[in-house]
Amino acid sequence: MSESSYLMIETQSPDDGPGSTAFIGSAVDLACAGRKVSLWLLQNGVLTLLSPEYGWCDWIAETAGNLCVRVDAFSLAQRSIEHDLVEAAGAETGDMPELVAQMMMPNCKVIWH
Amino acid sequence: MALNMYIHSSQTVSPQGCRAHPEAVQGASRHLFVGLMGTPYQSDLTTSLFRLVEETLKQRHQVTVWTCGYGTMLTQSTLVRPPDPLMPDDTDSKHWSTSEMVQALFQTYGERIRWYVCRYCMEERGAVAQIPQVEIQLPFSFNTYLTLADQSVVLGVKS
Repeated sequence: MSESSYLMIETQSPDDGPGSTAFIGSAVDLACAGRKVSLWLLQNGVLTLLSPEYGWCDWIAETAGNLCVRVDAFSLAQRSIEHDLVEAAGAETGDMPELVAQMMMPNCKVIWH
Repeated sequence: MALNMYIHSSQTVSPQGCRAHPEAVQGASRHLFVGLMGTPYQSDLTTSLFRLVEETLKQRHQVTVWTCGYGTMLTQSTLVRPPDPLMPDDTDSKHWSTSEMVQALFQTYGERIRWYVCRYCMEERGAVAQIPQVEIQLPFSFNTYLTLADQSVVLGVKS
């Protein structure tokens, strides 16, 4: 059996409470521990790109390729957030077809926050 | 009922377009259980729910939706969205209610979608007039449908 991967979906912004920081921290910790983690930023989760205390580039570098950050293009467009911010954070844009394809892969553990 | 353009609004605004893994899209049909626990109007949750469900069906998987809490109100037969006076009075400009969108999913994807409504949550909120496509279930059957699916995701926290 192949190793499980994690699909973690953050829908809340830092302003919604401490849960967002804790959830993203868990994703980074899992990736640092050697797990394959795909972290999607959806809905207000994309607002973390605007928050200076989120060191996305450092986190992605620390996890040695185990953390993949995807940002929902639809949520970005709804909030008029430029795609440059995504690239600056070391992340990539994605859309629902890609998210669903990952979700329906065998051995994928999905956590929605 | 041609609702695809509304549910699929991401397709029109996304600069990236579809980047799904082709091998995953063309793979074997699997079964997704979606539990809607969070209050749908508190955030973009309703939009995400319909995007997720319709895309999963488009990729030829099965979907079971279970609604609890205020999510049970999405499928009321009494929902009405007044017309927008600034928009032309034609079918493409109509503002569909969530219950009409659920009915459109049933019409388009037929036997691959099931939509269950928690009886207790529904009755507590007076949302007893439901569209005929959904099935009203006691909360004890939640686990039965959850375990039948290959994959599960729970959206939000009941409030």
